[in-house]
Amino acid sequence: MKMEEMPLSSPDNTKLEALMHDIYSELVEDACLGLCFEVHRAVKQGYFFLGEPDQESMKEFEIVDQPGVDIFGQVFNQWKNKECECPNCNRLIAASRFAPHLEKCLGMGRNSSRIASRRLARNNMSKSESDQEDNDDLNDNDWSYGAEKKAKKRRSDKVF
Amino acid sequence: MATSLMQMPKNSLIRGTWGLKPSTPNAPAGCSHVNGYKVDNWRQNLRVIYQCFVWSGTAETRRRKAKSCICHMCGAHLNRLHSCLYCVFFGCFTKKHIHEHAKNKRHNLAIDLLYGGIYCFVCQDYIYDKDMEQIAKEEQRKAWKLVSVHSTGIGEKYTTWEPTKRELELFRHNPKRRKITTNCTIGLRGLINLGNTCFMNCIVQALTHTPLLRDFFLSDRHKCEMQSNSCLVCEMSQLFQEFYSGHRSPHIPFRLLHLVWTHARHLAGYEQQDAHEFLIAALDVLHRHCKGDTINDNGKKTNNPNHCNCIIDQIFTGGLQSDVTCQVCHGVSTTIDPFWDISLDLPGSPTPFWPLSPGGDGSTVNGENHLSGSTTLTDCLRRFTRPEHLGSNAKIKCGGCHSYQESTKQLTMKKLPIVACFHLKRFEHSAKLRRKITTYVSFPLELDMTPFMASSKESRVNGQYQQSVDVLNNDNKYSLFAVVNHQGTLESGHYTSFIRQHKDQWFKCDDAIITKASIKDVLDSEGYLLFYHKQFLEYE
Repeated sequence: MKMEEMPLSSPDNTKLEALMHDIYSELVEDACLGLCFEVHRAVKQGYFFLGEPDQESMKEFEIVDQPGVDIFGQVFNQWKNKECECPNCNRLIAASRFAPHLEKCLGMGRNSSRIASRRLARNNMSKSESDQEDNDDLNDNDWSYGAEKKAKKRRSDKVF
Repeated sequence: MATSLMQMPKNSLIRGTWGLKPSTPNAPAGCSHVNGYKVDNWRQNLRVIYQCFVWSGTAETRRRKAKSCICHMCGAHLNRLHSCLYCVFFGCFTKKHIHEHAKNKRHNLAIDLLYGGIYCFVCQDYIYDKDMEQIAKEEQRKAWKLVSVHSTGIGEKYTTWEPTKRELELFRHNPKRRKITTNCTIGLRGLINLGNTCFMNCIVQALTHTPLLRDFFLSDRHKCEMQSNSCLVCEMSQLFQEFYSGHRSPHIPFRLLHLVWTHARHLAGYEQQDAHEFLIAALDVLHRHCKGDTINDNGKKTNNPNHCNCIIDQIFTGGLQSDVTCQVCHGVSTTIDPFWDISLDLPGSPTPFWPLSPGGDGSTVNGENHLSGSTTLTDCLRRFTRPEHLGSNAKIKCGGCHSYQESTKQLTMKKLPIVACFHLKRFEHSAKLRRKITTYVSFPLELDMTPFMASSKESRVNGQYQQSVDVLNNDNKYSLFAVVNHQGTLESGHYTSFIRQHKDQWFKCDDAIITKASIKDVLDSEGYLLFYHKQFLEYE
């Protein structure tokens, strides 16, 4: 029976349900057909199996779950000698000490401003006094609480 | 009526009328039999067929197609109708009526009216001819444009990527593939600690494992408009490239640190910083640098902070509703403020945690003795969204009463962000005290935010949501995907994070060391920053 000839005003619910079911199955079938076409085209054009991983690569990137090593199978704490170039001053800095270097390099933080103001004061001092200030630059490479204490102590020895 | 695919035996689907042939490098996708068709005004003829009988752009053409496209032999509308390319004949494929026509009239090409594929009866297969496909694509695009005139915002139809001939060649010569499968390290990478920068490393791990953010950057959606090299969004993009590079050595995020510190000077100094503070500062800089990607509703670029549509705002920004109710006239004054995170007080802080609702007994919550069992994230959220009496010292000017009155204030979620970040306030910096609150707060893998929504206010009694959970409503369901933890004291501590990859795989990120973790490890951890992702996304 053609679809147009089906009386929709029929009070018969079963006919309506049958019609609904047919429309629904047709929609599902059409969607499946669309997918089939996509696959068919991909196979024929030769790109269907393009993304399939090769065994070698699968092995290479497999997650390792063993004690003592990370997910790459590497032993912990082997990254001691990494270096990076400071974007501000272009010097090569040890990666694990980059943050304290950057703080001084950018002139940020409370200690940098103290050092900077001392450098300014240095320009007004005599040469013999300013020689003692040079030790300051040694601190650029290694930040520790102890060095700060030493520097403070030195300052109090000065006579302005 | 049409036979449903469900009823067909499985193997006939593959072998049946398709004749699907496996691909070989030299088998052409097109065929020589189309040459007989490509004469005279064939292009125009083909266009007409596509316009009238395949891609219907308007309601009128749709109606015409529905009325006129019936099988000339059996009158069926369905059954995979095909049109002959040489004459005006429609025949169904399923009952082979189009095949009969092809044999009788020697018309060996037909077109499928549903998807526009060209079938060659000599090859007995669908063929893909470059010239004909070009016409099909153009007509489809035209029809799509017509459709989108009537509905808003569809625009261009999305077409999947297809390799060109040259690209196919390259693929065949280079068979190694890097595919992200469930047991794959790609997407995971350690980060070198630059000197107490574990706080930054944890935030980087959380951000690089935020699915929407990852998709945005890996599909190259950032268009940079900054003149200098100091765009943080570009650096973020580079970070994703590093994470998906397949490199096993940890990445050194020195450029990232430099950029964040130059753009957020208030984070001065490298002393141990707060991961939460870093997160907010980083999101702020990213949001400001997203200028090139910000398009508002009118298609125009906007940098209005209130109407920004950058990826950061799309993912992280929610709306917090604040209702102040006058205790005298009961008039409500409502404001909605944007937020990127929710900071939650914990038991053990100076302000008392219990009771969760005003007037309630301090020792019990809804009849349950809260002292047994640990505090949950839900408890914290219930407290955050409880109505609070603002005392007599904090009277608000009421618009209804035109005088200062006592009031209650309540915070609820008006709009939920796609990624909800909860900050458990463990670090206390009051005038007399600097300490860390180590109270264990249990948090769930899945979280339903419905009870804390502005729309749920009526359904709450004593802070407890009364309505039963609607299993079918998925709008407010969230999944945990990252946890940032702090070990140690306020003065010296260490940040680590847990991140989720591939649905149920968790990994612990301790600066340069990435190891597999169990869900139990994650849920037993103390929790400082909790990142939840919406489970279901909807178009706006």
